[in-house]
Amino acid sequence: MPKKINLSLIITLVVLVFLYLPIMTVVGLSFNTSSNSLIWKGFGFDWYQNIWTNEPIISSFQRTIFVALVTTFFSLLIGTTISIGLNKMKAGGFLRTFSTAPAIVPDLVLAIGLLTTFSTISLSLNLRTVIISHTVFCTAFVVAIVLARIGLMDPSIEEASTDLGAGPFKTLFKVTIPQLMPALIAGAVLSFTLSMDEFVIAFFTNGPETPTLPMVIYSMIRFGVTPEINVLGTLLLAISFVGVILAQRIGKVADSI
Amino acid sequence: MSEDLLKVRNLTKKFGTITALNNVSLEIKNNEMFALLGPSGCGKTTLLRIIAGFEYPDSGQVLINDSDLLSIPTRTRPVNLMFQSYALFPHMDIFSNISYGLTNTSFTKEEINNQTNEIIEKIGLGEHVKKKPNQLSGGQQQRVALARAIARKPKILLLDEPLSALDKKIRQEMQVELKRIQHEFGITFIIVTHDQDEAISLANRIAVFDKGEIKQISTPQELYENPTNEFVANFIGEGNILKATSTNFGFEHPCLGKVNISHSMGAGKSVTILIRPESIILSPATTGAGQITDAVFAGAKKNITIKLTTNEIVRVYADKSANLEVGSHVNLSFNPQDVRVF
Amino acid sequence: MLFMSVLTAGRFGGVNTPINFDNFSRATDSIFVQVILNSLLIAGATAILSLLIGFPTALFISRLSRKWQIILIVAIILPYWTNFLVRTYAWLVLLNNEGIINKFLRNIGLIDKPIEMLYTSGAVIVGMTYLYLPLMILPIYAALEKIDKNLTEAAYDLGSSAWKSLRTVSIPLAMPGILIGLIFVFVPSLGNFVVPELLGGGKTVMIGNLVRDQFLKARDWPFGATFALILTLILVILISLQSYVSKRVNINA
Repeated sequence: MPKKINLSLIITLVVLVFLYLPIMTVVGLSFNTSSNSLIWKGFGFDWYQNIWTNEPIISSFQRTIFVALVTTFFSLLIGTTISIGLNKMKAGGFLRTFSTAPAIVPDLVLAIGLLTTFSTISLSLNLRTVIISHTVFCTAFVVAIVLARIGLMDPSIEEASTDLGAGPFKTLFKVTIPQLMPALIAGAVLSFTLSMDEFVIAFFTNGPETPTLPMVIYSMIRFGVTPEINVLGTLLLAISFVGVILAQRIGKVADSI
Repeated sequence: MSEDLLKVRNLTKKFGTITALNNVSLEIKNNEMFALLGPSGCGKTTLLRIIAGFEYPDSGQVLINDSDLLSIPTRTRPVNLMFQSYALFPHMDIFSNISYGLTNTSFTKEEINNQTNEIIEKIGLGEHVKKKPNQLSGGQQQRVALARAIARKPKILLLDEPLSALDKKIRQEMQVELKRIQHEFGITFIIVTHDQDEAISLANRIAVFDKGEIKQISTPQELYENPTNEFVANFIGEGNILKATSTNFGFEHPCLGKVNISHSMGAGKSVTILIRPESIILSPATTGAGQITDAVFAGAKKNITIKLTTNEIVRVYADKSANLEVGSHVNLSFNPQDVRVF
Repeated sequence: MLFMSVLTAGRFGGVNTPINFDNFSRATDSIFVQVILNSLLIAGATAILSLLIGFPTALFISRLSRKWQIILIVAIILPYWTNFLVRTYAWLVLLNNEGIINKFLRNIGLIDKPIEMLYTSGAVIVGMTYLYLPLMILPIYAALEKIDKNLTEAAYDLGSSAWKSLRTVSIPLAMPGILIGLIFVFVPSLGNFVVPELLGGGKTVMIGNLVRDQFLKARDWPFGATFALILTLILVILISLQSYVSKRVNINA
């Protein structure tokens, strides 16, 4: 084999180290018992125990989960409706691009756009505005995923249902939605993860009394390196990893149905 | 006339500037195997979709047992469709696929189960009831599609290109099977196809479509032997189409000479004639009407290709023992009764 | 959908009445121009760095067996699914004067005083490359993976050197993927304000920071919106350019 392959092997290994070293460092340090997270004192779960008594972290975590759940529900509902509608209307490129735009627009631009909208209609900033904003953002991803799946669907299958005497509701719930299931699951997992990890939009559209977890982490990081972040980072990492693996498993199972 | 189950009257349907159906009329009898045959884009699928209820015509009528079919909603029409792609529900097992149509009726659960099992039995799908469609072969999937479509005991079953997705061997098997099932269930079949072999082997009668119009409706044999126009002559079976000039008693062709036939179209007009390959007899000649350019052995016969002095190409089925070599000159003769003039 | 139209209407019109172009002339003050140029430079450097290490990685992966391709692609995506604040924070830990890298270098005796790595433009570039590298590798991999293996083999067969077959076959055919990767990395880098703040320590100011400060500190929303508009315009131009070049490449190929 030519020499170049060896060079790309080395670069690939460097890339993998580059991608995992920082994460692993955080994970490793989370088991440090020292109160200065940069000085290694000993292995232990001290900070894992401490974090459960840290009221701001726990309540912001609850808020984040709440926002992510409500966002997932509405994104899925609105996104699926829009997708099915767009498909029925045989809508062209413009409407499709328009409904997926929030996924492409930089989050900062979307965030200030939403902020100015809320202030124009005098909506006070709190978790409600975060949920609205995250729904706008996540719906775009749901539409992108569901539309792609609808595109793969044989249009005769819905016709077959009508031909065999089913009404529009039965066709929707017994034929269309079951076929979209893999996309709906993927959309739900994606919405939940995106909303849970989302910082920029929440930062602009949330009020000061109800920070979400990423906002709390942000303000903690601004004060420097602290042991709590190592632990939180490791926990979030674990949640994301489990989420991704779960999504793939469910995706595979759903696809085989 | 009461034996006509379905009457289509002056049906016209346009998609934008394209006319899919232009003033189409036809009658289909009870228990008939009727084929709508034509090249793709000829309007046959549009007619099928109008009967099924997925399209609505711009004008015209469709009557079933002399009552209006078009005013019946798609889902309650006594008509079912077997889709070209089969359109089986991929997330349901075979039993649920077949019973789906019955669940949209007022039957009890027990009646649904009994009727579904009866159909599964008759169509020979017993061992597959618990499987998903993607676990079945193409031929088995088609049986499921067929079973699902006849489960509601429709008056008419529409079949969209029923054999096109199958390979040759299963195709022949399914032809026999379709005829058996049609006979057993006593349902009228309307088959849409672009494949003349499929239409000829399955149907009692065929409507030949071209560019949104019906060119001829007849039995397969009639279409082959007595096509009424050039399109049908060309589309059904293999035929030699030649340009000739009409005379008072028939026609005249530079290589075939004057031929007298039973009817005349008046003298001096340019006409088209059709002669089937099996109707021509070849005789060697030193300077004949044409020269053999190709001779291919094909089992019981020889396929001969001849180039006439008019540069027209003629195909002839000759006896396999005939001594006909590429390059030799031949004269052509035939029984004037076997010639069609348009 | 309704949200979206309200949003586009509200975004620049709602607060910007009466419409005037003062904000645009203010935005062309030399200090702001400096910030914009600086942002373009840093985002550009991030994109180039990502390409330089992302392309060989994608190339390597695309030549593995199907099973290993999937394993490595998942390995590359996984970090992307972790919270981006945590990933940025990780570099804070690594690059710190008391951080692992400095400690390691000191322990092996390479340096005796810590190198100032944190709070530099370099730290910002490395941090953003880290954040967005998967977005570079994936589209290039997708493009390379589609290339018929016979093509590169044919190039070898015709006597091309490895480098020449790469330059004349793989790179041109992967060009659409490379362009998408560049956009995918450049776009979020340009609008990012968290990394410049945390890893650049406020010394590196990018457009994102300006927008944030105008909105949340100076409370001059129209002026902030002006920068957001400039940001959006740059991105729209880039994306149109990318789709134009992509089409050209496709026609030529």
